[in-house]
Amino acid sequence: MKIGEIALDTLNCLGRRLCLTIESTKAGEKIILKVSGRMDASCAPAFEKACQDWVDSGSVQIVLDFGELAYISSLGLGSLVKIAKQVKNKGGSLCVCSMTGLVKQVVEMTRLNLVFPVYPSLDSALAGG
Amino acid sequence: MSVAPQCLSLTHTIQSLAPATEFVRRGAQEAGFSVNRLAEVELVLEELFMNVARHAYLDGLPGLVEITWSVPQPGLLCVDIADRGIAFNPLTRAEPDLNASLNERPVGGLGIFLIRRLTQSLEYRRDGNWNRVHFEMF
Repeated sequence: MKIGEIALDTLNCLGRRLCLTIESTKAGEKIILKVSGRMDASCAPAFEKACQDWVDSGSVQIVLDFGELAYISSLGLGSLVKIAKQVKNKGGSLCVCSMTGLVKQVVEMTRLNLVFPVYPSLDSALAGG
Repeated sequence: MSVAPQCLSLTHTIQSLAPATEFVRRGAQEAGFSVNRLAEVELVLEELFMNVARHAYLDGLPGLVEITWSVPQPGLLCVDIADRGIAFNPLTRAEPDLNASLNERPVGGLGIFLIRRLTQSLEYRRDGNWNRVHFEMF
């Protein structure tokens, strides 16, 4: 059941569309956040706030579906680490699934895939998380 | 075919990030980079640009960032990012501990590491009142 959506959508001066969409779905105790688009310095705060809102409301079983996330920079990685720490401190769990391309490359390069569970698909994340 | 240097001047605010990225992306396209390599160029540019945006100008006034790219030969992209902020060499940052546990991991500190890993050449110099970072990717 889809229970929320945040869309950050802007056009830069050259007309190129830059957007981040965060779609929230509940699956039992778990919250699935499907993050699509680009998580650059402009958009990372929106992602962090969306996660933060769920953590503050007591939902600390979080699955981040990055299957349609095309780009992430160090600020986005920092947001991931920050949220993962908060979730862990509240006794919850955070995992990431379906990463491809640059996102997968950067997460593995920084070894964040060893810091929180990473799954190849949403189904495996829901089964194993 | 080589492409002569192209230059863009911007203010150092986050609103300039998208046009800065777009500008350098054109250089990477001229160099004939793959889609994945284009994304890596964008990442390197963002990390360096945000470093200027956050650290170079501390007086709150709009500061200047000059970005220049060239393609001296096919497959080689050269980029310079210059600012007139306080002297700051971002390349002196310590390497992050990638084996640290979640509790020990700082929230930031991965940007320069990523830049080092994704570029083939990376230099900083203080040139009068200018900070100049030069990187090359192929």
